[in-house]
Amino acid sequence: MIHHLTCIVCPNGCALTYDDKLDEVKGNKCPRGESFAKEEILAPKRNLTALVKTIYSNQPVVSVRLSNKILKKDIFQAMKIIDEIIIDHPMKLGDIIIKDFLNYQDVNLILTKDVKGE
Amino acid sequence: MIKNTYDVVIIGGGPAGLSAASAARKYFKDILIIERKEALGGILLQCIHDGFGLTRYKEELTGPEYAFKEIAKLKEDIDVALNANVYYLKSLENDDIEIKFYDMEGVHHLITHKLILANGCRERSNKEIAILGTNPAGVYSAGEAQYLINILGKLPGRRCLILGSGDIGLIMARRLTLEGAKVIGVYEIKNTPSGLERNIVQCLKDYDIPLHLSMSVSKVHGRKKLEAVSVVKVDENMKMIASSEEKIACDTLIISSGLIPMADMTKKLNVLKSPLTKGPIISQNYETNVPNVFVSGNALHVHNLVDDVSYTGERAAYFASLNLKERKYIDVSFDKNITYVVPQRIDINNLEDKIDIAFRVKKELEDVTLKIKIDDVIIFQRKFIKLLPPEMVLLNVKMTKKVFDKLHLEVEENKKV
Ligand SMILES: Cc1cc2nc3c(=O)[nH]c(=O)nc-3n(C[C@H](O)[C@H](O)[C@H](O)COP(=O)(O)OP(=O)(O)OC[C@H]3O[C@@H](n4cnc5c(N)ncnc54)[C@H](O)[C@@H]3O)c2cc1C
Ligand code: SF4
Repeated sequence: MIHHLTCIVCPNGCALTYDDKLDEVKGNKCPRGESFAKEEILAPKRNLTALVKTIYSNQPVVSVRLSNKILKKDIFQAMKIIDEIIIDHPMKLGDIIIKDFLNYQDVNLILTKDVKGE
Repeated sequence: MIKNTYDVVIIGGGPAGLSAASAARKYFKDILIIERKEALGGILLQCIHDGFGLTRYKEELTGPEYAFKEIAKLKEDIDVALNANVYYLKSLENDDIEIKFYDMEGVHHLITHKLILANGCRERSNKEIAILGTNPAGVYSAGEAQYLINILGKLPGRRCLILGSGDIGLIMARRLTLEGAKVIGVYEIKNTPSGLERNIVQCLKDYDIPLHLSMSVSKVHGRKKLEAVSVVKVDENMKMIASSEEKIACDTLIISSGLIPMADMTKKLNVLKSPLTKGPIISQNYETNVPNVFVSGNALHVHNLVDDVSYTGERAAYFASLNLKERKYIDVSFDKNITYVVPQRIDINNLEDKIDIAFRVKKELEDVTLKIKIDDVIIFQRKFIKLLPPEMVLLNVKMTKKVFDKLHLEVEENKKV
């Protein structure tokens, strides 16, 4: 079967075709498009950025991200976990809030801003 | 302490202003950034999604992470005024610029030799798009909704409808869904989406949010609070087809209506504006018609990529460092496939070996060649498999001739063999 997809790795958004019989990708301007197409058909993954609450009124929420992609189907479960976190002390951009998030070995939940405190 | 004179003053502490300041440090001693808000970083601080910095840092950063990297580059001897409001700007006879602003410490009055405007853009206000009906709470611009959720931690509503398919609207559709709201759909009056295809995929398709093209909102309903909106199909001339009107219950309408460069600072200086970009008219040296006043980033014209914004800041700082001779301009012309070109004119007396040229096309084009001609001779050409209106192209072009009367851009379809 031939799959038509848009590469979302960079803003170029190349229109890709993937022939699963020949295992062949076309339309990609760079090699990242090829691995994207194969992964997208097998088990699509996404980055996730979100917000967690803090106890500080001058910064009610702080932005966070996962350090690596997770399976698309796990996104809402990830959001549930993130929703329950409350940060109660000053922290720095890059600090890890949860290690091995959702039992992914290579995925941490990290801050993308400082929590300055009051 | 704010000094009485500066080599260069930068208005705006977003990515354009930050990169301008860091680059200016190579050429100037006394540098001041004037920022209206309480922190440096600009719009990036509320753009918590990733996708920033792929060209500049070779990694996919979130907005705040990108801003942090740029702020970390600032040398300590650069003065920064926060919570600062510029209320007076004047170009003096000797081409210095007089500035008055106030901050928490009081009023400051200073003279600068060079000025770089990096004050970004604003969203077209809801008033600029005519929608009939009441004026209830629950109608937000995409940027307002973004600020509400990402900075204040508040969800604007539970059942949302988004008007306009620009990138901010698409990104907000995903954010709202992730935060637990229902996004009924994104409605776009044009027959093609305004945002990048990649955002259509990862913000809408991933979450099964429908995109309705050639549709718009005709009415809002609800006295105090928004209760519903009417949506309607439009024909090829974007005229509403009344018989197609349909009422949809919702508590939030988010209008993602596009961005336009800030004009408050340029107005004070009588800077000439381009009707096409709504930003100032500049030469290839990023200089406006007012000598020693330069512009960069979204204050110049709206960029898609922050990486390009940072680049223009550096370039503006570089050109500000030159001692430009008396300016002499020729206009840049372009063909019907092109929406606009920046710079709008060439300062022929102050021409370097290479110039930056940015342009956008009017409609989706496939298999085309861009040609840049000087006096009808091609000096640059590049093939594009595809060009889309939402994607700005930024080129650095070598000038093979230094004296000429005409610079022209055209985008031609390649002949099929
Ligand atoms: C919602 C959204 C999503 C985006 N997504 C992406 C993306 O995924 N990838 C990407 O690469 N780019 C993205 N961009 C684009 C990128 O963020 C912008 O192009 C970039 O931030 C513009 O930088 P700037 O410095 O020109 O303007 P801004 O970031 O707006 O900074 C302007 C600064 O000037 C200050 N200012 C304004 N007026 C005055 C005044 N009168 N006096 C003093 N200071 C003033 C403002 O407070 C602000 O700090 C996005 C933009 C938006 C709005
Ligand atoms: S194939 Fe390469 S160039 Fe094309 S969108 Fe994907 S990452 Fe970008």
